[in-house]
Amino acid sequence: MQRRVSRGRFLKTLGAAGIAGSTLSILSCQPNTNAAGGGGGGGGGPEEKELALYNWSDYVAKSTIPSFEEKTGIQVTQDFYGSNEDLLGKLQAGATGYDVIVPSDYMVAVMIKSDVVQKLDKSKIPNAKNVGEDYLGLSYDPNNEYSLPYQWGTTGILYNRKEVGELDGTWDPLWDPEFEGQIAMLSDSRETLGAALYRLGYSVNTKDDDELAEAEASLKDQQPLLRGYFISTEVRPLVQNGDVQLGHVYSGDAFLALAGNEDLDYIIPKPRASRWTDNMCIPNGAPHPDNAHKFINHILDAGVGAKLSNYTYYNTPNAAALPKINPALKNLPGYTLTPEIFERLEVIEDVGAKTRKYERIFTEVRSA
Amino acid sequence: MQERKTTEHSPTASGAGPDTGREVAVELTGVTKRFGEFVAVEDLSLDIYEGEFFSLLGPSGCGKTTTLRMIAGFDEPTEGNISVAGEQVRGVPPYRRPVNTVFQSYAIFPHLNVFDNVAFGLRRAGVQKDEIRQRVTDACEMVQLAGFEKRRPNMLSGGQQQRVALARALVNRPKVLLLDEPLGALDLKLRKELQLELRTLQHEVGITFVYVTHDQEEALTMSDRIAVMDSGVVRQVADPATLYEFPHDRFVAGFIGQTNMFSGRVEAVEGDRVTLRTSDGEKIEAKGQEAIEANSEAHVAVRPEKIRFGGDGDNVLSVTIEQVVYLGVSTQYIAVRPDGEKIVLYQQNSHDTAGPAEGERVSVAWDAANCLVLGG
Amino acid sequence: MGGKGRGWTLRLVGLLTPITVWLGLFFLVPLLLILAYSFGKSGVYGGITLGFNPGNYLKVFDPLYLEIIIRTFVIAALTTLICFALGYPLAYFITFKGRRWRNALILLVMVPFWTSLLIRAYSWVVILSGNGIANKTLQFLGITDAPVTLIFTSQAVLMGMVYSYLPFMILPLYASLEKFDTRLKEAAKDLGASRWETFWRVTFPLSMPGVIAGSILVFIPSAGEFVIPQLLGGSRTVMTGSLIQSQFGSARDWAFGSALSIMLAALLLAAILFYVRRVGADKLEGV
Repeated sequence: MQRRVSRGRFLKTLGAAGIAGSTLSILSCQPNTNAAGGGGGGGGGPEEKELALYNWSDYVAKSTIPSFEEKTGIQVTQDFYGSNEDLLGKLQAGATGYDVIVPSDYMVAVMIKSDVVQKLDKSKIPNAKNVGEDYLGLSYDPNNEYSLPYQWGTTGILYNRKEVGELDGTWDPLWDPEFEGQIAMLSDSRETLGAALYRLGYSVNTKDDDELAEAEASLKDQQPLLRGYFISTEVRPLVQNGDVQLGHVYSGDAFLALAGNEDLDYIIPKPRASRWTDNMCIPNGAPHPDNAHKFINHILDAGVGAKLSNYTYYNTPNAAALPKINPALKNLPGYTLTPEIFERLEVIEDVGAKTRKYERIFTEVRSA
Repeated sequence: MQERKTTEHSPTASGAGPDTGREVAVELTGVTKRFGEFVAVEDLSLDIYEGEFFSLLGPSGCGKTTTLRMIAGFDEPTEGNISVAGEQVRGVPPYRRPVNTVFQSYAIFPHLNVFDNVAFGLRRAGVQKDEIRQRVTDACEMVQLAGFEKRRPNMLSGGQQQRVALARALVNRPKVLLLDEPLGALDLKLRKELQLELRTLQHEVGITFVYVTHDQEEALTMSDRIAVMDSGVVRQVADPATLYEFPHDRFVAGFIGQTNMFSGRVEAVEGDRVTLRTSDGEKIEAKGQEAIEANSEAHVAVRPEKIRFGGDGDNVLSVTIEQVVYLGVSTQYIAVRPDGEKIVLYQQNSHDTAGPAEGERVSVAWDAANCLVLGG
Repeated sequence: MGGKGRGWTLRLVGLLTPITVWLGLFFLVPLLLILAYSFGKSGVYGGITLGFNPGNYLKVFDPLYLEIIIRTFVIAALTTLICFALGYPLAYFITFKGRRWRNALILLVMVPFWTSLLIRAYSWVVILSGNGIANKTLQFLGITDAPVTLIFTSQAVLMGMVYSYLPFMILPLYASLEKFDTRLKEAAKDLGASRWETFWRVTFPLSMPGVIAGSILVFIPSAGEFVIPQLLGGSRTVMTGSLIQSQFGSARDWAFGSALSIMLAALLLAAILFYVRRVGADKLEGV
C-alpha cells in the first residue's frame, strides 16, 4: 500500500514515492536524526529529552508537535517515508534510532511477525481509553499489544456527480464502458485487486486462486477503459480538473476535493469496501521508549486528536475527539458513517506468501 | 566548352616569357577578394599554363592562400573571373571543379586507412572497383607508399601523411593540382628531399601544379615560374633565374635572396646605363630595366655574390670589414661604408689565399650590369 | 626502484585512493550485495536469507516478465533513436552554425539540469492534462473544441523520456563535433564529395565517438526508468524499473528484485558491447 498523504504538497510526496522511496533507501541504514541512541531501552534511567518520529509526510497538524514539545520539553525530529514497504525495509535492514513509526494495518501484522516492533506499556498511555471500540482489537493486532490507531479512512469512488449523475452505489461504474477513458484507478495492488474482488462478491483478503483469477480477468477487462493507475494524491486533481470523471481514492483525498466543490461526490460502494487504519508503534531498539509512550499518549488526547484529523481530513479513531471535529468535515458525504455502512467495511490484512501473487497479477493486468 | 585560350602575350612584367602557344590551365582576370573591409587579393590577373609548376610566393598574409582557395572553389572572388581548363568556374562548387588540393595540414581522413583515403575521390566519381584498386595501388607506388595501404593515418609519420595527401589528390588526375604549403610542417632535411621528389613527380605526371609557399628557396628550387605576391598584389611573375637576377622592384629584390640596396638621385640616363648619386655623395653606375627620368629618386640593388674585393669595376667603394663568417662553400663578409651603411658580399672559397680579416680596410667593386635599378 | 619512481608511485596511490574507496564503498559493495541477494531467499515478510537459489533467475523467464524486459529495451531503443534524430541536427547546428552563440546555446541545453527531473516530469503532467496549457492553447487556436488526450499514453511516456534524456545525447555529440577539423570537410569537397557525401563519409563517421557515448548515456537510464512511466503513463507502461521497484516494495521479494536488477544490468552490458562492436566496425569500414 502506498500512502495516506492527502495534502497538496504533491512534489514532496512524489519525491518520497519516486526517489527516496526507491530501492536505494533500503541500503541506507541510519535514520536522518540527531537522536543518537542513548541505550535507554526500558531501563530505569531518565531519557534524553528527544524523540524521533518516522512518519508519512505531511501527516501531523501544525500544532501537533509544538504542543507536545511545550508540554513535555521533549524535542521531536521527524523523518518521512513513502510506503509501508520502505518503512519495513529500513527496519529490517537494521535501522535504529526511531522512536515512533506509523505503519498501516496489514503492515503492523508483518512487523509483529518480523519482530521489529515492541509491546506497548499501556500503563504509560492513559489516553488509550479514548480510542473508540470499533478501532480496537482488529485482526492485525487483536489485543492491541503492539499498536494504537493514529488515523483511519476508507477507499471508495470520488466522482463528478454533475457530469455523470448519481452513481448506483456499486463498484460497477468503474467497469462501465460508457466511462471509457474517464476512470482512474489506484496503483495499489491490494486496493485495486480489492475493488475487483469486492465487485465479484469476494473478500479483499482472499487466498483462493480461482477467486484471484476471476479478479484478474475482471481487471483485464477494465484496463482498456482506464486513464491509468495513480497514487491517490494524483487521482484527486484528475477528478477536480475534469481529466477523469471517476476516481478510485482514499477518503482523505476525496474529502479534500469535496470541500469546496459541490459538483463532486464520494461513495463507499456496495457490497463491500476497504477500511484502513494507520497505527502508532514503537520499533525494537527505540532509543527513547518512554518518550515514545508519551507521544502516543499525546496523540490520543481528545483535543490533539481532533486538531490532527481536522488537518489531515482523515477520520479519527479517537471517540473523545469526535465532538471537536470540524462540522463541515463531519457533514461531507462518507465521513460520518452509519452503522450499516460501517458494517460492510473490510480491513485489508496481510496475505503472507500470497502477496507476490497479488503483485504479479497487478503487474500482468497493467502490462496487458 | 569554350575555346581554349592560348597565350599571345607575356604576362605582366615577366622578364622571361613562357613558351608562347601553350594552353592556359588557370586564368585569373581582375580577381579581387575582400573579407569585409580587408582586401586579401586586389585586381589579380594571372595565366598559369598547362604542365607548369607554378608557385605563389610571398610572406604570410600576402593573399597567396586566398588565391589558391578561390581556384579550388572554397572562396569565391568578390570581383573578376577565374577559368580552369578554359571554363568559367564562378558558382561551381569545389567538388565539381577539375582541381584537387594538397592541404597544408594534409587533412587526411583519420577514420580511413591509406587505401580508403586515396580511393576517396575515385569512389565519389563512381569509378569501377577494379579500376580504383589499380589506380590507388599505382598512386601509392608513385609516392613510395606501396605496402602502406592498410595503415591508419595515426600510424604514419608526417612525411608519409604528406605522401598520402599527394596520392589522394593525384589519383583523381586533376587538370590542376593545388598545393598549399604542403611541406611547411616537415623538418628541413625531409623538406629538401620532398622538394626534389615533388619536382620529379610533377615532370612525370605532367599535371599543372600551383604551389603556395612563403619559402623563397623552395619556390626557386621547384618552380617553372613564380608569382611574388605582397599585400594582395602580384609584384612580379617570372622564372626563378629571372626573378633572382632581374627583380622588378624593391620588394622582390628583398624577398628573393639577399641583396644590397642603395638609394639616390638619378644624375644621368644613357640607354640602359643609369648614374646615381647617393645621399653621401657616392656615384653608382647601374643598369636600368625600364625608362627612368633624370633627377628622379631611384633604388638600385646588387647581389652579394656579384661584389668582389679590389678596385677594378664600374663601382668601387672603400669599406671596413666588420665580420667574416665562414660558410663552407663560401665566406660571407659584412663590411661597413664610411657613412655606416652595411654591405654584404660573398666570396667562393675556391682559392688558397685567405680573404681580408675583420677590421681591415679594403676596396670592393662591382659592375654596372649587375646593379639593377628597381621600381617601386 | 629509484627514489623518484617511488615518490611517483606514492603520489599515484594518494591520488587514486579516494576514488577507489568511493567506488568500492558505493558501487562495488552495493553491487555485490545485490548479487548476493539475487541468490537469496525472500522472507514472506520481506528481508532475505542468503543462500544459493538460482530459481530467482528462472523466474525472470516467466513470459510476463520477459515481455516487460523486451518492452523496456524497445522503449529505451526508441528513446535513444528519437534522441539521436533530434539531437544530432541540433548538436550539428550549434557546433557549426552557432558561431558566437555556441556557448550560450550549449548552456541552454543544460538548463533543464538545474531542476530536478521529478519536478520537470510533473510540469509535463500540468502542461498536458485536460485543463493544461497544451489543451487550452489548442482550444484557443480553434484546433480542437474539447480537451484531447495528451497524457497517460505510451506516446506521452516516450515524449517524457526523450525530453529528459535529450541533453545526454546532445552534449557528447557536441563535444565530438566540436573537435571536428573543418578542413576535412574542405578536403572531402575538394575530392568530389557533395555536401551530403561529405557529411555521410567524413563528418558523421568522425562524430561516431559522440554518437556512441550519447546513445549509451541515453539508453542506460531509459532502460532503468520508472518515474516517467508512472507520472506520464498512468503506470500503464510497465517497464523493468517499475517491476524492480515493486519487487523491493509491495511484493517484498528482494531476491527476485535483485535477480531482475542483475539481469537488467547484464543485458544492458551485452547490448552496449554489441552496439559498440557493430558501430565501431562500421566506423572502420570507410565506405
